[in-house]
Amino acid sequence: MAARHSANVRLVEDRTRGVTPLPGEEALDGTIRQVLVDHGKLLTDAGGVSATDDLYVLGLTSHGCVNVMLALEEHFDVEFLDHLLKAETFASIAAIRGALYESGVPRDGAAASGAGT
Amino acid sequence: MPSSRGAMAATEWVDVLVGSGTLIPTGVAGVWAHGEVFARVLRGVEDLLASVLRTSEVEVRRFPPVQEVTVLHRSGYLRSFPHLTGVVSTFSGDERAHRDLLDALERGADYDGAFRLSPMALCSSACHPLYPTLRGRLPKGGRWFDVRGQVFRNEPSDDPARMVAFHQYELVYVGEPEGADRHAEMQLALALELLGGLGLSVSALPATDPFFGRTGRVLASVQLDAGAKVEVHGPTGPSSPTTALASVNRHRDHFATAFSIVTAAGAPAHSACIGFGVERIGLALLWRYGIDCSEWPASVQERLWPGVTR
Repeated sequence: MAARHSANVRLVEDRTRGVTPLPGEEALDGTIRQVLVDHGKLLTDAGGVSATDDLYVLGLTSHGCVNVMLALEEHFDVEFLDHLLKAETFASIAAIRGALYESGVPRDGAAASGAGT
Repeated sequence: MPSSRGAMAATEWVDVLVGSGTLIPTGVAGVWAHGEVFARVLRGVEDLLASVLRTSEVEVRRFPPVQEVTVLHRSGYLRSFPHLTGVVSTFSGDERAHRDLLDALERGADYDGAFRLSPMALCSSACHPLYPTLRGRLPKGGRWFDVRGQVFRNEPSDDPARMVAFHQYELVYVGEPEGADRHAEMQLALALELLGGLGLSVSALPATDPFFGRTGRVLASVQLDAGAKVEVHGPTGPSSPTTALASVNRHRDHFATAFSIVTAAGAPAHSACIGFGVERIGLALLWRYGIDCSEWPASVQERLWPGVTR
């Protein structure tokens, strides 16, 4: 239980720390941002969205969300873990980043180039 | 509820409905014919819904049970609900193809090769064929539609409350975002009052559509978070405590964007609908009051069939 709790805390930290991402995270955030530009259909330019901005407030719809999910899975050749298939996972770039790490995307900058491209 | 029905097993209740000729099985799970009593109850329910929902500004639309298949493409239905979808295949072969079809039939072999997808699909929701007809600019304040139609959902079940083919009665608003929100709130209150007024024990519950697969889990979660769907639940039989009798759906600009519908100001329109499951409301009344409608409370009979008890 304690281990699970600390994992959750780490996850929350991963998802909320986005203001000053680490170098590897910056590259990953850039890739996520590009996927949002291509597939998210936000009401604003996704290229200027910060890591912690609420994507739903910025116009991410349920179908936009699924498009982003599928594009990220294809790009990184991973599948989001079952328990991450929920609205919260796609609420911000930082949340998506945390979910990608948790689903198997390596925590280094090289990963941002992706296996699926 | 009489205790005898309250203690019934699900199969016993189906036996009562079938034994009384209220529902007639067709041999296909989830597809039922309606006997005289059920037909009368459903007519009463639809007339009541029409009398309550159809105000002067409401336009009436009636669509056949098939629609253009492109409605499924453009609305995203195939992405969200492939498992519920029915498309229409038709024969367009020559004499030879006809002979092959009959040969296959004779041998008990598959003959689906003789049929090809047509430009038609079974109606996925009573309001879906409406949106392609609204392309363009709406008047200020939007438009309201009274839509009744036959709907197909491929979820075969022995539970009469989960039919494959059934009737939906909907009141749809298409217009400004605030109009759609107001419509959704008002119609939810109205549905609770209307169904509660028939003596049904109903409550409103946040809900999700039965989306398909992994992406469906995300769609359902976003839908729930956004409060986009609320169902009005009530008991329809012993197989489950409650079933959705009606639902209020806030589509935001989903259909309007898909079908190029804009507000008077030129912005993407929003839509919202309340849909009533006519058969389910009929079943809820039968479960509540029994299969002999002449024994139902006079107040309920008067609402469904005005003048009948005089």
